[in-house]
Amino acid sequence: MAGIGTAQAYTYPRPSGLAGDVLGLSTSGGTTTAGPRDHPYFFSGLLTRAAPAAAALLALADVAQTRYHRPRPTAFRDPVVTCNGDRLRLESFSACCGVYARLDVLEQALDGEVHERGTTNVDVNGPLREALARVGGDDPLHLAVGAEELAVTTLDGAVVEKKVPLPERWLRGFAEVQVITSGFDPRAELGAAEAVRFVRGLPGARSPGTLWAVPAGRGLRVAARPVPGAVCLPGPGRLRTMLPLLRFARALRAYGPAVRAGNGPVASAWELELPGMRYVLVLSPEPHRGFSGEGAVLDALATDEAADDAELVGALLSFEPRVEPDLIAERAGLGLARTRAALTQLGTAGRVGYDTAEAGFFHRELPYDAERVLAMNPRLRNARTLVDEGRVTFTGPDVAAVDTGGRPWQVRFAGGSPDGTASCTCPWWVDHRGGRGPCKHVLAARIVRDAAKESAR
Amino acid sequence: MSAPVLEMLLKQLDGGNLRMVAALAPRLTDAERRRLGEDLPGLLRDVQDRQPGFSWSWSMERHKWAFMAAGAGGIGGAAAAAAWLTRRDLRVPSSDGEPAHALRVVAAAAGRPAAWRAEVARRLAGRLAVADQADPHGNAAAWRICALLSADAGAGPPDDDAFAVGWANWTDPEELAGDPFLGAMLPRLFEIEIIGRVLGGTYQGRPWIDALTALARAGGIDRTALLDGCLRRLLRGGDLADLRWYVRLHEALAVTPEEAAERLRDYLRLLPAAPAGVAELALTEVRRADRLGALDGAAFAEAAEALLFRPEKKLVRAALIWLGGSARERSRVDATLAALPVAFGCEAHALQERAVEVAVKHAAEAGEKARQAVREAAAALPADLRAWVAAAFGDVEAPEPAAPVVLAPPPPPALLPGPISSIAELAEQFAVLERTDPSWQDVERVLAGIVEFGYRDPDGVRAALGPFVEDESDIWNQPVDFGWYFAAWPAVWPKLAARAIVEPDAPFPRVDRVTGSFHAPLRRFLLLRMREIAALAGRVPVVLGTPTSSTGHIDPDELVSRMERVEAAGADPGPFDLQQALLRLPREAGADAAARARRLASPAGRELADRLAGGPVPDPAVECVLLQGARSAGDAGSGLVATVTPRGEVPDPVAPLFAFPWGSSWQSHSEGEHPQAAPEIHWWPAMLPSHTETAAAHLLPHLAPLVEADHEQGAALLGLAEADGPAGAAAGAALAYGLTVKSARQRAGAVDALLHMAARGRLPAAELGAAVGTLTEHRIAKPARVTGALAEAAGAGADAQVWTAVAAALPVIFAAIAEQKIKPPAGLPDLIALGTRTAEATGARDGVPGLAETVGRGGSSRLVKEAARLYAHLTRW
Repeated sequence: MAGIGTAQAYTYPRPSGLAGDVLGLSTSGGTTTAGPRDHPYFFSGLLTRAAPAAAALLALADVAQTRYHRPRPTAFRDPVVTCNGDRLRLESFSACCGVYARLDVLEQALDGEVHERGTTNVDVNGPLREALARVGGDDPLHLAVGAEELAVTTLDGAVVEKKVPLPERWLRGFAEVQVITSGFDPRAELGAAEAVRFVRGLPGARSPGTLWAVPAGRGLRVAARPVPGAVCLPGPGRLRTMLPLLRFARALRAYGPAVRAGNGPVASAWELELPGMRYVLVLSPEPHRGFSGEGAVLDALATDEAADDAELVGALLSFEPRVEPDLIAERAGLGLARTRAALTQLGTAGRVGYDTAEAGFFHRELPYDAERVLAMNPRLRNARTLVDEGRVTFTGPDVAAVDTGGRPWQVRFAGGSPDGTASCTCPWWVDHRGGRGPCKHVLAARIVRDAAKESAR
Repeated sequence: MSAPVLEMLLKQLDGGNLRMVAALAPRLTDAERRRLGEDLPGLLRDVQDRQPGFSWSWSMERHKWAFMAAGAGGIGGAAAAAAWLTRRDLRVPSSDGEPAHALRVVAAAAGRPAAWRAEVARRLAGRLAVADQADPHGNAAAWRICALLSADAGAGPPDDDAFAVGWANWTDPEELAGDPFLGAMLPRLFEIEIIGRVLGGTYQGRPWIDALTALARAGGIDRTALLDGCLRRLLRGGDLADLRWYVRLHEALAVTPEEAAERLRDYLRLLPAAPAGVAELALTEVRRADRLGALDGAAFAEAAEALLFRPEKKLVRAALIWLGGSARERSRVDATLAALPVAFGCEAHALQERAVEVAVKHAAEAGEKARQAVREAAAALPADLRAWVAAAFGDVEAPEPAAPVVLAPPPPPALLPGPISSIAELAEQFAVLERTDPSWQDVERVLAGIVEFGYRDPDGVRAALGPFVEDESDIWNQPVDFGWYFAAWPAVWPKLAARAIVEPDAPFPRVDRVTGSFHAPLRRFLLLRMREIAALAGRVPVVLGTPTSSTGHIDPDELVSRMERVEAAGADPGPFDLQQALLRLPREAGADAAARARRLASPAGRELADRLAGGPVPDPAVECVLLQGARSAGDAGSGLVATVTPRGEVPDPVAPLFAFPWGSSWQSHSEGEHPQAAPEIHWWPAMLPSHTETAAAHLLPHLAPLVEADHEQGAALLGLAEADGPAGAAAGAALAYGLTVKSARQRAGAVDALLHMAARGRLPAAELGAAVGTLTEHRIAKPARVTGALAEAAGAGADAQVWTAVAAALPVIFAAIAEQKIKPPAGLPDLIALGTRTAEATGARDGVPGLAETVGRGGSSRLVKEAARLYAHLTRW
């Protein structure tokens, strides 16, 4: 896969760190309501709950630095911060791409001035970790995300340049998580004492495979099999970064898709409510699976239907903390259904995120060239190649043979429904059976079928 | 005139003479140097061609060094030289001679400008990898050359992390005093994450600690820099393995109370979230500072609350000792009482009790506000402690009785996917079997599909499945050990069946033997049925024994319909398949099916009709037996097994299932063949879905060797839980094995099974408890694991069942202790505490034999304390 990695260079005017009692988070290039900025200046003011905020930032940094599957030391990766006006959201992935972490610092925990809304990266480094670990007790903590243009330009010498090889899978992960979590529903809510008991009682880091959390008494119990209402707990060791936050915890909420007995592993979201903040971890269905390969965006990407609407809707977003589909629908002059489809399409490009706590989308613009990366989705690219080379032959109304040299793979559309699930006989499909989205053969067959329908019309 | 220098050098290079190459290289003319640089890759290739083992053979080490020296002396560009020196095929293992050799390589570059040498060093540092430099077998030579070049060129040390890691790994701490990089590298020791592991790697890091502290004493380095460095690193966090060396160094620095007081804030911030070993260090220093009176009210409150919230009992206990011992002396009784409620929230009764003890001790000196806070917090304590607090602080309001937790109804059995509906789907499912570890449901479903379509449309199946079986035909022609085959590859049966359709004339493999069939008659039965289905594929219209429910049961109406199809086709069903189908009938079959079955005419049809009219095979007598081939825990020759004795008539093919062990007794076999853990035990309960206890008896010999293994025990027990029919001693013993399994996942499966049986009102709780007792007595069960699992079950609403089990387990364990067969096992006090909790919750008062005697042993051990608490509850009227 040579050439897939993108060296993403960040330039920070200075390192992040604690100067006096001001925690300065340095920003690199990003997008704001006023367009692209080299070093956007989002917020300055007081973090009213300093200790939990510092601990949660450390937890986020820990996730970014950990490779949960086959652990080995990795360098820091800088979180993405979005200022939505009334709140700051910091997002990151684990180095293995199987855990998504977000810290939402809400209005109640912020007391200061919002200078701009937008998205950028913030610098995380060793001395910053040390400074964050020193925050505690009732010490007040001033926070600045970015700095005034003047202050930035008058500083000399201390510029930080980081060149982090940023795999494209990291970027694809942002899109996948959004699509996957928007299908979640709340499944359980634990009070502080039960949350402490549950998280501390989870099996350790030597992850024992997929477990399930099922309601039991006033809390949750770890079970070996899914029942209706269960939340998947794939690699429970991946919730470990919540341990240092438990002392501030007010509640723990779990979100996931509906499951039934006999269900395979699925993703799940775990949200720890802290004073004025929420710390959210989303776990991929299995520790070895990164979100990037989950394939949840592929069906939407394979069709171009909503693309024009998405462009229109995208232009109307301005870093709202909550994107209200009906408001947008009115302003765009589109129906609600088309607006929702357009939002999904925007999500596939990582341009909106999904907040399970509020069951709503929020706007962000990733500080990466996301469109290009997503268009390069390897499975989709390979499917288009198969179509172009004419390797797909329909042998029946719902069965196609895809010839890739050896034994031809058979793609079957179940039940004959137009959007019905399709399956394949290729090894990749057999390994995941739809759990990671369609394989390239299914995608190719679908493209051929859709094209045939289009021309028939 | 002597020969040109280059010619001499090349000769020495060819002979691998490092010393001479290094001596000659600086004497090369510019033109010669250029030529050497250009020719080197070719020369290296020549040597490699001549010496096939060049890149790995240690005897070629001299040559590699010589080539490195030649590169340092001859290669023009700095980048190219750095690349040459780190070539994979010139990599040398670290050795005693390495520092001297590296010096010669650097000497070879003596003729090059200082700026060039500095640039090579800089680029070399960039090519070092952190992980490699941290490895004891890493590339020490490259680091050393880099270090020597830097020093030699008068440049400072490179600032790459990997260089600093290499410095820590390859520097001899005894020579630290004269190290040119010491000043620059010292702060780096406290910055780079992985260095703690490197420094702590040899003799627990002692040599480094001794060298650093000696230097600090001699004034060579600043002691406070070491101390502050330690603290900085500890604050940055990580696993204890990363931090342990810093904890040791910190200890060796012998911090004074004044120093501790100056750094109080840092120590305070380590208390809540640092690894336990680090938090213990911080507590020591906080207490040291406390003795100087350096803790103000806020600092004390922060420390106390952080410590009492820790999950480690040891730290909470240490904190309670500190709090209890210093409250009066430091005149902070009220502040202490304000912090104690955090510990009231502990899960362990012993810690709650400790906290109450501290509170009560200071009750008399407490202000009214503090007293009230304690009273309020005490509401959440267990009754005995609440009473204690009330005696010292005044009335404590009892908490609102929480709504009792009720057992969730058992979840309905998972739906089985319907029969395979097309040949295309059959091909797809066949592909799935080939690549995955299929469940019994998958294998049954595909076999049924092959038989169904193989009869209806053999040409279609041939076309679809031909590609799957053709390429592997030769493996079928050898005699087969079915036991082994099955274990390794359950997809073999659908493959054989498909082959019977695709190539009807091909020979069918001979059954040679079935491994381990003495202990696994169910496996033998399963394999014989599978083979039979494969052999009959294409000749019968349908498989009779395919389940219609995930419990393994078959809907009687469906079975009658299948039998009608068999009769209509004039086919003979296989005897094993027929018997499996009959075993899979529910215990209560509907009258409709029985009426329809009376119209069946074939012998098989009549057998079905008789079974539907007469009910299942009578439940055999099942009796648990303790095998004492015991050599060690988990030994297959020891543990609980069960003897199955038939009651009434049993058809031939299934006779060995209802008379187990077949034609023999456990005693005669306990010293003989030991059961191997059968990989397919989770398939078995669905083969006997109406005979739970019999299925459990078959599982037992296979659960014993799996106690420390992760092996689908949970799924097997869930199968038992979902089955029907009486459940007794064998099912209880099977669950007991499940609750003590090491794997957290399998144990969770056992808890699922326990709760499922409890919710259906068919949990043999007393038998389960008795088995836990017996297995503990024989050191097979670990009370700590069992207690955790039972506590989960109690939390989910099975209080009554858990109490029954604990009350049955304790007498056996107490008796074994009294007879001095075992010492009180770890975790026993917790098991008793769980008993107290569940007895309180259910209001149970039944007597526990041996409990009074345990209380009577006296002393202050936790065992006696917990026994006394349970005794007090059971005897309180």
